[in-house]
Amino acid sequence: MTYHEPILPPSTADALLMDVARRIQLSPTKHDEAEQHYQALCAYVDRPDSPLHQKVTACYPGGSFATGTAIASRVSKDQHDVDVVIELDISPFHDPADVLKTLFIAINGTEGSRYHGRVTLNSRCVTVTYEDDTRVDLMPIARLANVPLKAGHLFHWRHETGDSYHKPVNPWGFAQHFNREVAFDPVFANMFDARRQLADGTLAKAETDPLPDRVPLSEKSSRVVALQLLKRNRDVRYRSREGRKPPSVVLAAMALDIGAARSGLLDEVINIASHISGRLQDHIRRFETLVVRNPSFQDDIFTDRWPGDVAAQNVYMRDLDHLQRQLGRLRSNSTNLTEMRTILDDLFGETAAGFAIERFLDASRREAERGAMRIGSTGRVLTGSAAIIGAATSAAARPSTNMGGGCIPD
Amino acid sequence: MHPGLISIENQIAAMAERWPGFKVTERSDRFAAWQGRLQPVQRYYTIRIAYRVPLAIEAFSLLRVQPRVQVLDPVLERHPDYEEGPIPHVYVNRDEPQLPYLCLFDAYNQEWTPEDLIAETTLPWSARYLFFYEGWLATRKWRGGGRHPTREERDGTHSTEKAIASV
Repeated sequence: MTYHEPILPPSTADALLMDVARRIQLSPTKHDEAEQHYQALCAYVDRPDSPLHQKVTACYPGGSFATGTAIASRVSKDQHDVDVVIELDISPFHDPADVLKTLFIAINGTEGSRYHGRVTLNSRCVTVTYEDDTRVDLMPIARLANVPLKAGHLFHWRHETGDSYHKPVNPWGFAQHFNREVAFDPVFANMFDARRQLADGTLAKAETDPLPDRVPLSEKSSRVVALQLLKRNRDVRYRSREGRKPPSVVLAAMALDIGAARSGLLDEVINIASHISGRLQDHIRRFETLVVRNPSFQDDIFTDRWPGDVAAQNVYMRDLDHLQRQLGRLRSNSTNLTEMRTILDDLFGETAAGFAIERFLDASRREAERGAMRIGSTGRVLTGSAAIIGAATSAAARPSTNMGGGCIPD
Repeated sequence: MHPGLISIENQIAAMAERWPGFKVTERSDRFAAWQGRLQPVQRYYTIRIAYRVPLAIEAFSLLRVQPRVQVLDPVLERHPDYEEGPIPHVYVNRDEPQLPYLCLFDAYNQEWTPEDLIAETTLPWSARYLFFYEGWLATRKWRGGGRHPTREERDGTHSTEKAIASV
């Protein structure tokens, strides 16, 4: 994938979307903690007195955690869910109920043991909830022979319905494919980093080229950050709905079908939303349900649980159309900051929207106080990298103090 | 005119060069008024700036001679329940209460004097004010910084006329 868009300073709408994204992302500290959590967890499953001792062959991030698209499941509590794959040296055709129950017992242990009481058995994984509200979903898989590397079976068992089956999967293969396809975009990474430094009150270093291996996966391209925003919007929309929501991996896989990513974040969100909405509409017209496969392993069907029917597709298609309309308003010339906040509230929830608006203003004030704020030819206030990049077409605004009150003497 | 003061002709020329969208709407001897639009975030605001160059012999106060900036459209909203409400950092306009004058600089510390170009100070500061005004409407808090005059400054025991000595 290549980038063709010119280098542009972030618009107000893009800057706000970057701040929303920063609020919903896994912070580097949380990321490190999550890694420590799952590595300790896998070692625990393999401990000598575990029923799965010497059965753990590998343990690695899966899902959004592996592609850098992980977001908080509850933003106000900074709660994150981390998907982890635990490969077991067992038959891929082993009884699913037995595999899941054994993994549950291995982690839950006896009373007073490390994870006891914090473990939940789900239909495809075992979840451990930590004191900081981080949840690690540990999904057991067993490798299949004669298939792409690390492809295997997951084990599905639902006690309530008696559903029990094996499903071919390759989360490792998809993560590799996704990370390979989504190219590192130094323009975007630079802009995102400058925005962070500005919002956090440290000096922007727009002239420094970020190195791919130093940029977190979650910030390497507008496509990754746009997916985070799309997922956040989906979570907000489905908060009060019954039934399944579109899986993150479906959105990520569909986003790979689009051409070059845009360096503008708002453009990229619309780019992806419009593509997915179009695909859904095609299927709705034909009364079919969408099928999305793992590009690294065609037997792995991502859409096996959503959309269940045409109506489910229709619901999400309307959400995506609403998202596009609202983003269009966000960058409209007639929209003020209050309206922008209302739009961000609606799309991404109150906590993230409030954070974005406040960060945006506080960062701008710091810039004004140190004389780094510039004013464009229409009176547009430019700060951070926008001020640096737009220096040729703007003038510096020297600091001054807002005073107030009373009357001007006659 | 005192040699340090910038003439109204030079103020007009600088405005025309830096802010071509702003047009002179009134003009007399040492006085000019401009009107034009600013777009600090995305919405446009129409503002009016009026300024009379003081005579050197006047013992002027910066408070009195400062350029007067008013927001004509949309008029500034009044919110007494917001921080710094009903409208943050403005001077009362007794004749047209809905069109107060913006307080854009610290006159007591001479952040602006008649030696400054309006195009380089008043206009950028107006854009900055409107930027934080939008933020005030969105968050109900004034996040643009600033201060209020001390009692000494208000009572006039802190001289603002010292500016004359420097111009």
